[in-house]
Amino acid sequence: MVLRAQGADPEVVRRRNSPAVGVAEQAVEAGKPLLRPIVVSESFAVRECRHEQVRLEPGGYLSGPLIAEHLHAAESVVVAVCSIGSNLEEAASRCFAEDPAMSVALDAFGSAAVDLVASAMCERVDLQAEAQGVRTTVPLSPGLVGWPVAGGQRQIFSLVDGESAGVSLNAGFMMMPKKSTSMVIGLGADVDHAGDSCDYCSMSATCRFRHQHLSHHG
Amino acid sequence: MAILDELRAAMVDGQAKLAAAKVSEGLAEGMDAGTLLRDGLIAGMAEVGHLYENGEIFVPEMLVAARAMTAALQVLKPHLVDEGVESSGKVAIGTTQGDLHDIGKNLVAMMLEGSGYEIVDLGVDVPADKFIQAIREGASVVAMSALLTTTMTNMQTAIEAIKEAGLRDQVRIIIGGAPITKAYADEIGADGYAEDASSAVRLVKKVLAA
Repeated sequence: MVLRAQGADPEVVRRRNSPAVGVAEQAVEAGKPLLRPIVVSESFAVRECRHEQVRLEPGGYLSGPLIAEHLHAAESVVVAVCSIGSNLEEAASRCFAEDPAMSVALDAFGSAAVDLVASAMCERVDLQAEAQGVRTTVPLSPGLVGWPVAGGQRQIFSLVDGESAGVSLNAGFMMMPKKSTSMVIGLGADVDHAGDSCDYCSMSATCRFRHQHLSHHG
Repeated sequence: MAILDELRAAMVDGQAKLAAAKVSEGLAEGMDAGTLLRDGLIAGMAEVGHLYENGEIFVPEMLVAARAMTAALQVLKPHLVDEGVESSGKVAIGTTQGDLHDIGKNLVAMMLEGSGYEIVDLGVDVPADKFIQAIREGASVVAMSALLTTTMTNMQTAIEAIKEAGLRDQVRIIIGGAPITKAYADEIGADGYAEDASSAVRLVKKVLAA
């Protein structure tokens, strides 16, 4: 998990008997006690979809080309913020000067961990949808093509109380702690079920981590 | 020389203790610190960078190699000072204003230091005037990093501020980070774009030679 989150093929690295394997294992052991996983989410019924704006009950909206493309047929939307807290990233920053390999491994463990928290969130929504007899869209996050970071994060954080999960936005609309992620998932009988979040990322053609990210359908 | 070959191999294999031991061995045999730095450590890191860019090793392996370089450099540093060995240039590096991501910036700084450059690490959330101050204090290269589309625009702000301060001709500016492209670097008037820590080293060498 840690090697993969750094863009490496774990099997190849292990075959080469690289010290990087030991560093990754140490990062997992050191990182586990530092995790503080938390999710805050809300579910909203969709009132209407007009142009590129999906309006929600009792108020609020999500907007952008990507939102309109995926949520136009949604009956409800789950909005979520996930985090693992700041302890791990602080430990990673502190140790960089002494041991950059461990620092980056800890950071990678944090990325993998928050991805797992988000995936668990997606699975919960999938189960909720199954119980309702409806389908789910791919999870959509601000920063994907068609949903700019600034607008998307503002919309999400106006709909859920990120602060209750210890997550806030800085002036650059960056979530703090850094190992946090935000997303929306549409539910409905007629939503488009297939696809992968990676399909909507501007770096999908060159990304080393593709297909290791979040949940997907198809 | 066998010691230099063994030192480079220890670095590529990420064997920190062995790399440090090879430096001690070389010094004990009368090799000068400059040769060990240039033909051992810097050449070894160049080999590591080459392997990474060719896709023959991954980031974690590059990092343990850099860890080995750091261990070897700690043994060598006092001898470099004694011999008056100078750096290849001074690079001020920082993550742009509003952005708090530091891993990529730290990796670039580490690779540049391993390649013989003096690094002034300005940290994260760096406003334009701190880059300007670093240039006034002798930085010949400014390296800026951004990981967000919302913060990358501050790179252009910093470049404009450097121009207004009358310092643009005194410095080479390179940029990098996930949302950055060569086209964007050209658009905002940077001297170059590096897509990873290893190519950043080649880029700094190139822009300083220009």
